[in-house]
Amino acid sequence: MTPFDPIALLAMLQAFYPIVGPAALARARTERPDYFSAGQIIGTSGDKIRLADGRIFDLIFDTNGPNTRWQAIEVGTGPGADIDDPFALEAGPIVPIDLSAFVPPAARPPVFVPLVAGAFGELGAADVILGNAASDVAHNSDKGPLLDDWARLMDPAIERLAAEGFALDAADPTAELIVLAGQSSAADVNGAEFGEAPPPEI
Amino acid sequence: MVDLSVELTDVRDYTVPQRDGTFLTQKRVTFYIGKFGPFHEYFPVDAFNELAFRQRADALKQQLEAIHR
Repeated sequence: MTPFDPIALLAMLQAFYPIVGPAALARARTERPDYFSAGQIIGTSGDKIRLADGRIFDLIFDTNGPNTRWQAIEVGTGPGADIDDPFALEAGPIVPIDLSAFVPPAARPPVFVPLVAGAFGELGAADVILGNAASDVAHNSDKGPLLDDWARLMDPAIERLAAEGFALDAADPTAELIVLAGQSSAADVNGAEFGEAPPPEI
Repeated sequence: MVDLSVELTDVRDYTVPQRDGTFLTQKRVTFYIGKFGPFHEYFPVDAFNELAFRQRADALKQQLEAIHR
């Protein structure tokens, strides 16, 4: 059995059966039975269908009247639902689970909260130590002694280096260059006779 | 805007015996339009093509649009 969709049935009736009435509904039931999902036409005017599950849908508004049109309105289950079903299913052995039978486990005592609280307590003492150290650093951050040492040791050295630079700039190497111009740049190997005694005979 | 996309789910030959002893074979097309359906339409075997199917699907889509307007 195909699923029943009243909107699909209504769209089909409006699209392919422009003449509204019980005769057109019966014709549609014959030509396109799948849309009715095995529903049977009922009603004094033949304008309703009853599905296998007992639901009843009214498919024609103002039957044979001036404002007749297709519709798909569920009007109830009707007396069909109360009819004894000769093929009714028996109660099976499987029953829904009673969720209230599951008792949630007891809540465990907190583990991490005491650990974290204790650690924070120990860190509170460390805060005092850090605060004292920070105050000591701030108290001893005077740069006066360092400046005194710089003035005593480095300033004279800088002045002396500058004075030597000025002296080098003012030096005149002309005299040294004149003396060097009169000297030979190579050694004269024939300037004198070889005067050493010959080595003894062996 | 309601979803009216056509989803074709089944096409098969559907043969039924006639009272005169002959057999009538048609194409049985099952499809959905958006969340609506299933729709079942029957076509003559020699007249079943994409255009014929689209004409019926469009007619149904127009009615679905009118219903949800």
